[in-house]
Amino acid sequence: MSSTNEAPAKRIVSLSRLLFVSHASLAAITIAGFAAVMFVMSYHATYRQAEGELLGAAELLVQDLRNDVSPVELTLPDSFFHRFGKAPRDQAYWVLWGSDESEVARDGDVPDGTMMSDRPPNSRGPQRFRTERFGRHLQLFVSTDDGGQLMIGRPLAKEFDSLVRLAVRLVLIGLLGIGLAGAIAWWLAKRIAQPIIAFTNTANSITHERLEERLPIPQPTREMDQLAVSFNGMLTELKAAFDRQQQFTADAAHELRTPVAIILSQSEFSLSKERSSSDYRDALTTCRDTAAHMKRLVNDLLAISQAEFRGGEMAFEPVDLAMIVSDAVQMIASPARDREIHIETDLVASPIAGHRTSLLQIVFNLLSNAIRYNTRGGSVRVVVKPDGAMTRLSVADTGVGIHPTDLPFVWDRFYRVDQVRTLGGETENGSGLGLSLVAELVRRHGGEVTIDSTPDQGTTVEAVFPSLEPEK
Amino acid sequence: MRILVVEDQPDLLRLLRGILEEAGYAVDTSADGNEGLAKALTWPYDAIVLDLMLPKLSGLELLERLRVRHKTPVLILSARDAVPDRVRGLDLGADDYLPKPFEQNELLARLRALIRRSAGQAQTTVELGDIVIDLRSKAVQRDGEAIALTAKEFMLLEYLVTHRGRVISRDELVDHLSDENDESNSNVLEVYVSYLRKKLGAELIETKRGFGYVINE
Repeated sequence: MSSTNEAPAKRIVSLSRLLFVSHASLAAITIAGFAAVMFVMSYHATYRQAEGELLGAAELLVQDLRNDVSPVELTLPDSFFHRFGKAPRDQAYWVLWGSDESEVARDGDVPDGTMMSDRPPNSRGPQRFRTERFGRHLQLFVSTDDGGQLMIGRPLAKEFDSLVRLAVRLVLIGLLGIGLAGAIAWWLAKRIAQPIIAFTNTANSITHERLEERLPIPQPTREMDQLAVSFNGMLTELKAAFDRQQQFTADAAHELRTPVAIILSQSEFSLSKERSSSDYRDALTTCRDTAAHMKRLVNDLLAISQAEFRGGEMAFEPVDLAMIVSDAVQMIASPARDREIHIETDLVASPIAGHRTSLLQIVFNLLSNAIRYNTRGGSVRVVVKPDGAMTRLSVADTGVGIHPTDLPFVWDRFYRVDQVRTLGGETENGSGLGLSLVAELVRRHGGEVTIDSTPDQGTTVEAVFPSLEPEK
Repeated sequence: MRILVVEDQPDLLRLLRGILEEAGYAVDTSADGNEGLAKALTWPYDAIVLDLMLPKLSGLELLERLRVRHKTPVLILSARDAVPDRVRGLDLGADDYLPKPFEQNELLARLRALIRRSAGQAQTTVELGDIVIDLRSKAVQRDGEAIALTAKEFMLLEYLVTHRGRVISRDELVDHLSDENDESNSNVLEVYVSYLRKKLGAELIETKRGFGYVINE
């Protein structure tokens, strides 16, 4: 594991736990609420039903009284006996009070402390009765025609039994439901978190040595899929950059092998036995020239790696490309004179946004090539002029030219055209990096560079940069 | 022993010639692939030292065309060091592969081994009666006493010893002992043979009249 994973893990809750807890508690609250509502509704319904039955019985008794049945002979019909339940603990009882609040008659197992209601029930209106709870008993009061009260009541034993049964069932079913919901929540949490864990594991396993690894697509969810796609895209880019870097290092090492071989062989050869002092001088000259070549190579390598790999650190400023070209022409004037090469310039002030040193490097490299691969007494023509929204820089020489089969490769790093007759002698050989550095630097300036060449006639390199808008 | 060096880097070419000549080889050089192939097809070299990145004709192409008819041992000397490059070179018929930069001693040892193997020999020390020849250190002993030989004398002895048991024609000897710039009269061969006979005994090198010379095993 990498060191970045050593974050304080205690306080960071895992996604699957979070999902599980939230899902499961949501399900538990829902189930518990539902069960509670069901129980309350059922409780009320039970009471209403018991109330209705008692009211029916009370009205029958009141009817009998109206029909002048003696209070002592009042009885409840058998049908109520069955409706209330056969067990003695379910059976109803009744008490009749006269208008003077004295007890007239009673029947059944009346619990002690039973009293007539202190708030007499209405004798007309929609609700002509009162119900009161007396312990587990339900007692219903109605007014009699003579101004007295009739109370009929019963213990709600079987109703309580069924309510307890209902409660037990609700708890059991609720627990089962919560368990089931928990299992589903667990599965869901896993299903959501698992791809992320797999994602992380794959991402962790991708190191610079295994950049070709990719996350599997499609992922189980669209968001994950998009994440994987962009992650894979990033890997592809990373790998390309890494490969470029590796290729560059390999190329650089390869280019350095030959000069190192020369210095090593030369020194081994010279030291293998006693030599004359002129031999030693020649050997040292070879070593110095080769080392000088290596120095150029290393400088160019450094310049190109900076141009290519060091992101957007190039600070652009408004510069006049014509001024830069005339600076570069002055820098190269002396070697050009040595080779009797005439440099012609046609420079129109052309402001562009650029990096001064890089632009100077571009122009200098192009001029060096134009002189190195020129013929004695030849000429180089440099033109800078605005062309619409662009600024055009062209360097044309009257040199040896490049064969059409070599032309597509001149931008490649370390590419050198075989067997060219250079004016500087063999030790002046370029690094093979000049043009690829030019191409890279022009590209960084948002420009484009093209080359055109005819063998034995000359070569023209043209670079086009976006012009700077004149400030209004 | 005569060796062809094909290398386009002029300093390295000059150095290889110097190293090989001082090691007692006759050396021809070539700075591009086409010329190298022409020479390799013309002369019976004992070994070829071949660079891979050559103008006109690449080293691998040269090797491929050479191998159509010639078995000359080839040592590839290249800045390309990756395994696929080595594999390709060896598969195309190279006998050895040495990456640049190389050490002088290793190059010479590998060349000696190549030449020895292609002549069907395994040892670097050869005993012929009372004469012991160490091909590695180029030392010759007779009855335990060191015999001083000139470079040319040793080259002649080395060639005959490496191919001992086989009659070597005068032309073959001249081809293998002198490089392309050697203008000396071929009659000097007899002179060297007589020097060797004087130093190592008349019976070592046998003259097959009309055919050439032989050292018997």
